[in-house]
Amino acid sequence: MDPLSLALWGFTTPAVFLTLLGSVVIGLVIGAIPGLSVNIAVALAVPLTIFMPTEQALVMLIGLYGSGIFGGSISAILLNAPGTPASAATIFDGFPMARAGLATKALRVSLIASVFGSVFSIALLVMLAPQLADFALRFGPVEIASLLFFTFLIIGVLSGGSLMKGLLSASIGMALATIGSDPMLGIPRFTFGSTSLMDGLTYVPLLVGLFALAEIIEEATKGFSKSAQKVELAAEDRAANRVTGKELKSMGLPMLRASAIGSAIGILPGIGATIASFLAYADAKRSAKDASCFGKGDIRGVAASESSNNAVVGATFIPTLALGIPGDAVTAILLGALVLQGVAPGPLIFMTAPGIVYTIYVALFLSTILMGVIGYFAVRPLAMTLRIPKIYLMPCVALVCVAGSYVARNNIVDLFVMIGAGVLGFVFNRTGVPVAPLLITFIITPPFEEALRQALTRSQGSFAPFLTNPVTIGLALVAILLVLLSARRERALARRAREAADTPASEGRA
Amino acid sequence: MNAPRLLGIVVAALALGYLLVLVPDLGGDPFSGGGRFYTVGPSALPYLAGGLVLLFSVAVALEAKPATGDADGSGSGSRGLGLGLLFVGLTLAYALGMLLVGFLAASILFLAAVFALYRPRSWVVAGILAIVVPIVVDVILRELFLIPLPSGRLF
Repeated sequence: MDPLSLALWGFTTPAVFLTLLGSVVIGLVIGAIPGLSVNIAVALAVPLTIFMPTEQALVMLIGLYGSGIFGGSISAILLNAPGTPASAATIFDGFPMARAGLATKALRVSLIASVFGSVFSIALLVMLAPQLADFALRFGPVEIASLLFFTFLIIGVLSGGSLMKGLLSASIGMALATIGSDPMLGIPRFTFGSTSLMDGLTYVPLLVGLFALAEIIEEATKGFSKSAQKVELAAEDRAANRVTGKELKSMGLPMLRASAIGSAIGILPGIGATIASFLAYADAKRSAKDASCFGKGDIRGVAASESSNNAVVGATFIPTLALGIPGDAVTAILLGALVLQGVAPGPLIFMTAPGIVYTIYVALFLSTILMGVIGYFAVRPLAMTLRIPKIYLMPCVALVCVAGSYVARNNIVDLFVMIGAGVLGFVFNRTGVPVAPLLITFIITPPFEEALRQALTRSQGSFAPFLTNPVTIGLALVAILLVLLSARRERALARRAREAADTPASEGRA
Repeated sequence: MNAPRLLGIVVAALALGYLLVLVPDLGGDPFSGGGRFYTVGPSALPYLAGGLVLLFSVAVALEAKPATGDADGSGSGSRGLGLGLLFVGLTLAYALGMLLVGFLAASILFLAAVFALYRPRSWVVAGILAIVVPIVVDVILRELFLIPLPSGRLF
């Protein structure tokens, strides 16, 4: 049986299919609850996947990822508070629609757009990833080291508002990755005599702390919200909430453009769905013949934002599978989960484990279909999850964080790593430093060090191969260009902010 | 002083300690051959990483705007820090308590302490959650995934 048929056959087993179904439902619920992002859902699921077969583990994580992003639009539309940051741009038109009694329509538009964006990016993944992997197979240690260092720069530059904060986060990730045995000679580094640290900082507690515990600490500083949100969809006019053929036609082009934007953003490491949705929203507004309804409840705004953030999902797998470089924080988590399962992502995966690649394709596609079906029929029950007060939810999630971090190695040291990572993530969130670059760099640093040292061993310590290699030179030029563009953009933003601050002050004086 | 600037200064100080104290120790490791390599050795990447952290932390400290009213340049500053620290303390106590009284008892005590300190709307719901959630997690991990959770030294 060929790998595709084997992957499809795998989904007919009850355990795998029920895992997919369950993870899509849980992803929708967790995505819908503000404060519990898709990152948290996937991070908390990783410890459980250690004990599952590879296919089942992948299916669980992918189901959570795809549906969690759509789930975020539910609270964005109904509460004006995005369940995940990726749905922030959905608020602009989704919430005005809900206030006008069209919440169900907004949720349906969001669902259609999410399914469209997902399918678009999965098609792109199937077409592009093998080609990119085929190209990357020609890479030696010099090219691999250059590509990974380029990734370090690009995720630092593109991941957040501030160039320096992004790069600081990425550098800290690199420093944390140096803890443990040196990958070439096995010499212990910064282990302080502890055998628990010989393998380095364990991946599961680090990501659970950075994403889940950091968010819980943030909620704790607010005393955990005690109020239940009131959401009522039953009273809405059913006829007015139907999505008509004419409306579907008007959404077509914005969804297509947004999916292309989301996919392009997804391929680049470290940027993520949040920026994609804002860019796609701005593009839909700019390209519309009549943009006067944008911001007041235009379905094209909801469609653009949701298509783009879901298009990121499939596209982030392109660098993850083809190059072993995670496209965003969630694929960084998935990549780590694959390594825990003994599968090494990278160009060779298409030859050594094609079944895994097809399982990912099929899981992405089936989870999108399930998300569409469940999302359509379960909009009202999903809206009810918003009523759960944080005071009950967050302490229980903290308990799961502790249990999840412990089970990875049955080692108490991992709990302290998780708590330390949680405090670090909280400090980063408070100071506007993005967390994703830290995690992605933490994952790519060991292969970077290995490739760099292999290259230098071959050249007997000479850096000349790096200075003459066309791939290295090309990547260096792109990196310099990106840094310059980013610095220029930051300067322009700072100037605009200064002007905006000066204007009311001078008006006030006048 | 605003939060990003403070972060930059603290991280820069830590990076200096890392570069000046921790990394040079690696060269002295008897298994590393005294750090003499004709190519990069085990301390090369730590030097690169530490140098980058130092460089960018100084840059973050310099680019941060002076505080003007709000405690922080880009976020919510020190608001509610006490409550956050309290929660971190409780989580630490929970982690240590697991060794002493076991996972189940420590989990029940942790949830009870959090609910007691942060005041839920309904004590009945809080009481049910504090007992049911730890039992469900314990049963799933022990029985379904066969994970040996800590039973505690006292029992």
